[in-house]
Amino acid sequence: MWSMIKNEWRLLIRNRVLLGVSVGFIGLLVLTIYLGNEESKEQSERYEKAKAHMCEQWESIKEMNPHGAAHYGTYVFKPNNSLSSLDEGVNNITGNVLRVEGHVQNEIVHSEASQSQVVSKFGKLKGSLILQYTVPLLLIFLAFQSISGEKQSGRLKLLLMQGTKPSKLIFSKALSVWLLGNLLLLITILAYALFIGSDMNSEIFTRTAFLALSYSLYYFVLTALTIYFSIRWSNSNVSLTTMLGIWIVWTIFLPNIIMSSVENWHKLPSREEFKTAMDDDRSQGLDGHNPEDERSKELEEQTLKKYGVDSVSQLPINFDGIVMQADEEYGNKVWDKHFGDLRKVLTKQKQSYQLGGIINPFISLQNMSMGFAGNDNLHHQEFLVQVEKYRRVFIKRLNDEHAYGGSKSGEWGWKADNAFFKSVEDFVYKPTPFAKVVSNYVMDLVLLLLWVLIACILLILGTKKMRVL
Amino acid sequence: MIKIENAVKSFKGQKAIENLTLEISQGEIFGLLGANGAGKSTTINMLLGFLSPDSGVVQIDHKNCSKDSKEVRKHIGYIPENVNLYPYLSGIENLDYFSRLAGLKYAKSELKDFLSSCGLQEEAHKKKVSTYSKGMRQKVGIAIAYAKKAKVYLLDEPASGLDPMASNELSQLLKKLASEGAAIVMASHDIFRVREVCHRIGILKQGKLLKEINSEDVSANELETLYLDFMKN
Amino acid sequence: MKYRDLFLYEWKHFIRSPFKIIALVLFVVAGVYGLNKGASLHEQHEREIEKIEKRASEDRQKVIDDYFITGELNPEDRPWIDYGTPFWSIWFSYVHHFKNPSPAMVYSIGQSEQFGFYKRVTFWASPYDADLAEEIANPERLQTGTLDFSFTILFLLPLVLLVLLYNLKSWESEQGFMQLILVQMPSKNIWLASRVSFYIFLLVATILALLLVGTALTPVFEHSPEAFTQMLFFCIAYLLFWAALYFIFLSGSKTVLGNTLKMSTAYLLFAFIIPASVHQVLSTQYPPNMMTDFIDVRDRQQELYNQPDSLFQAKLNELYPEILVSSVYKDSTKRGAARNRSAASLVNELKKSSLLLIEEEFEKKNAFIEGTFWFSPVSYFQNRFNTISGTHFDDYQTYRNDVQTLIDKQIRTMVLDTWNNKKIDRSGYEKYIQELEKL
Repeated sequence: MWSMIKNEWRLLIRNRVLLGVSVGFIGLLVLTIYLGNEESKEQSERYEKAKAHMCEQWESIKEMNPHGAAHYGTYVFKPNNSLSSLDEGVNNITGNVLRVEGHVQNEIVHSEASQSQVVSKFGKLKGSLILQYTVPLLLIFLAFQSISGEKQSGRLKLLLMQGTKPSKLIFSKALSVWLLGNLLLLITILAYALFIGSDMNSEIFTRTAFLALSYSLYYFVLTALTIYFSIRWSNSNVSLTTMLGIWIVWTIFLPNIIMSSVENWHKLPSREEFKTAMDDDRSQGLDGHNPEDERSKELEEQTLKKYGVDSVSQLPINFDGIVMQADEEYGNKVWDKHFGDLRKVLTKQKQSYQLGGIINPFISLQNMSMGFAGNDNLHHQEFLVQVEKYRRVFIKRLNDEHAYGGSKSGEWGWKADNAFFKSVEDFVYKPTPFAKVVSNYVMDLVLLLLWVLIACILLILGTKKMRVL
Repeated sequence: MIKIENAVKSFKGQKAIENLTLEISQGEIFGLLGANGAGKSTTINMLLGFLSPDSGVVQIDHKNCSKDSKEVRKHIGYIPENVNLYPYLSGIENLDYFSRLAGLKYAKSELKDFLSSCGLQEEAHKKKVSTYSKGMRQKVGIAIAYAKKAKVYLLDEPASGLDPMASNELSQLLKKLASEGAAIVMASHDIFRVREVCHRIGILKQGKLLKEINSEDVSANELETLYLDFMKN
Repeated sequence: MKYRDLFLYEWKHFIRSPFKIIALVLFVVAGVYGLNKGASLHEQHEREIEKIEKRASEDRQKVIDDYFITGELNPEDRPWIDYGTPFWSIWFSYVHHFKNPSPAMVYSIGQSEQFGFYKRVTFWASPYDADLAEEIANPERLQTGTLDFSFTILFLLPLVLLVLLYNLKSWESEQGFMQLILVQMPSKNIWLASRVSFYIFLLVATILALLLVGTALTPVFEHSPEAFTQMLFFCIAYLLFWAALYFIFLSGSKTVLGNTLKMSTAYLLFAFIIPASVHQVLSTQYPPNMMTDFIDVRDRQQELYNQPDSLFQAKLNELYPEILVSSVYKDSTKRGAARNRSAASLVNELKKSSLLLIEEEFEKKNAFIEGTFWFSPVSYFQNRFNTISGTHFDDYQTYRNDVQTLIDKQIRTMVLDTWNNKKIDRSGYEKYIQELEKL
């Protein structure tokens, strides 16, 4: 079989058009990764600058009332991920700036997509764009006449007369085209590794390896299917048009339609509904800024009892800070409920969409590609959760300072000093380890493997049903 | 009607036609005999205007075949060696389509007459061409040329794939066309058919016209002997 | 005559090609699906606006019932509020500004899912507030894109045209009967053009039918009839662009494979590679704005508050010279409170000046994109469709500008009425609502 593969490759190399196209693809992929890496560097620079600017602003607060500082808040920016040059995922759509402040869990805003008119409906020139949309077309063009062409030219008869086993012939044809896909994949990964240089670590390596695996499996499915149609149809043009039809349905039609349907099955609330529901729930709780609030009074009684005093003025602490934190904790429950519900719907949507992989392996590939690159919605949500956790720690720190930092109740003019503000920790994003998220993509991987199995079965069936004439 | 004078045609330095001179008048059938690569198809393609001679004159009805190719083609009926047609159209539809391309619109009955007179059985007229044999396709091709009512007919191995009966029908048709005033050039390997149909026969070898013979002057066997002699030497 | 016959005969070629028919049917299905998507988003936006308007109207009625009718202008639980003052009366006017969806949204949802379309206008508001963010949606769905009508035209129309045309002439050449055709009809290009024009006509008819389906889904003819004709014009122009491109390939091609390869490459190049490359270069040259200039307003705001009253007052007077002749200004004991109430106006100016820089960068980005339209026609047409349907970036920028105009107007009214010590009753409150909603 190896000699047959070698022969196929020789034919590929000797065909000037195919060789030119392959070299063109290699050039394009390397250029893509290079540009992606440049963009990553540029964005990281801008991110670091913005982050440092915010940090400087915070640390330069000479003195401020801690609760005033909670309103002043800070901003968290979404960091860039070096794997974005392979697959940017949802990063262009999601916002970049998240305000961290007291009393409210904000949403991330100011996405890149909202900062200009539309340029590309399929995103930027990333490795994923080439590997998902164009390389499969190349493989189809390479494979569609591998058997029907031999049949049309009469070579198939000759080959079989020479004693070549049909199965050997078919699998070597499939493997030779698939290997070319893998070669392009390998070049992409190597170029990526070369450009990121010392940033490569075991986490990125694992993610990249899985990403490459998902593409490799998809390429096998596509190649095998093309060869199957090449066996079934006596006319190679029919096998080409069939595969082009499949490419259109898989890559352009179905992802759109399935995703839209999934959003209809598991509906997300409108912004107004979401906000109103949160406001309603929030209004049931304690209002930290309203001393007339009944729940505030209840808390006051409990605190007085705890400290064994009769009035707020006798408390050794600042009761206002306690109220603010209680207000915050109630708010947190509300945010957890509503944002949690939102995340649940998004998770259901994702799971349903993943099932789309049953009829469309491209969906599994896309899911895995952006997931393994750490740029899908799951990773984005994980980032938002980390920011919210930080917000809670951040605000608690300020409220605690307000309550226990040395001021008395009602002393709104009391200010914490610069040393305190400097001591408040900055947000540090800890990218989700691959091992923690890999379970989310098991379904995609299983479905893609199932497609590989189907493709193999089709090839075997094709071998049995192959007609020489 | 057809005039070729000192025509030379080379491909990548290799001469395909060398100083070819020929004249074919109205009502005459001229047969071009020659082995593969002798220059028969090149001659036909020059007459069709698909190839221009490097030097010399190639004319039909006093018009330059390469410069006035569009005008010249209006008066040419052409039958290629392999007639490939639209497989999803019937024989009659193919004839109608190609006739319309030539600006001719025939009634269905006329189209049927053309096909029948070219030997295609009536039950096949409405069948898709994809079900036709090579010979049947060839008959439709002949009908296409016939329906054009051209002044000149260029036939490149027209009998290839035809059964003896159909081949005979073609011969009769060509004679009929010639009697109506058409000038016909038929390139072929089939010595006997050429002898039977053509008025004059030219033997081509490596682009040179070695001999011109009146078919009345030779029997089929003599022509074969003559042809083989030329080929061997 | 002959060309008409040729054109009509192409119908026979077409109906005998199941693959081509399937492609056209799929295109129509996608088109209708896309139109429905657009119509449903249009309806959703309308519904949402209606809901917010209703809610605002209820809130206003509550203010009238609870405070203006009873005359209790200071709520018991929030005694600092006084509905009788311009500040609080305007604050509780619940003025919203909406970007009403154009019925032409049925044809292109454009960037409508990247921007908000309703905004409560207050004197602390800004058109870049988080509450003017887009509707909640699954980012992966947004990334995948919505199959709206413009998507069908932009990305499926060239594919359907490819399927309809891919074997014209190349198949005849491959089968070896091109010569026969040329003998019958001397002009290859006229023969090919007649055949191609049949498919152009077929697709124009299909597009026209789809556009008409769109008018049945939203009142396009009633509200923006020009959108229909513009959409038709640009769809035909787009179709002709692809037809011309494919025609060049068809005219020179000898094999179906070679031709399909060329056409597919052109498709990938124009639909994917070129726009994606432009996007990539744009992103490298102009990375996403982190809005730090806008964020910095809070520090500048703090600096403003820390300024001496005289400086603060001078800035106010410069902004609104009318203050100098107001009744409150004449009474120095009342100036302090009015000054505090007017702080929003100076903060608003700070925000506006910071936004100038940001919007300048957006303009540069847009200019960069527009500079690539000559070699990136898909992006050009995409943005044309968005403009027609009122869902282009510029439409949202205009909307943001309108929001800013209303903010300015609200602040101006609040500041001047405060300095003129205006007392607000029910009719004054209602007048505010009427006035402040108008651009």
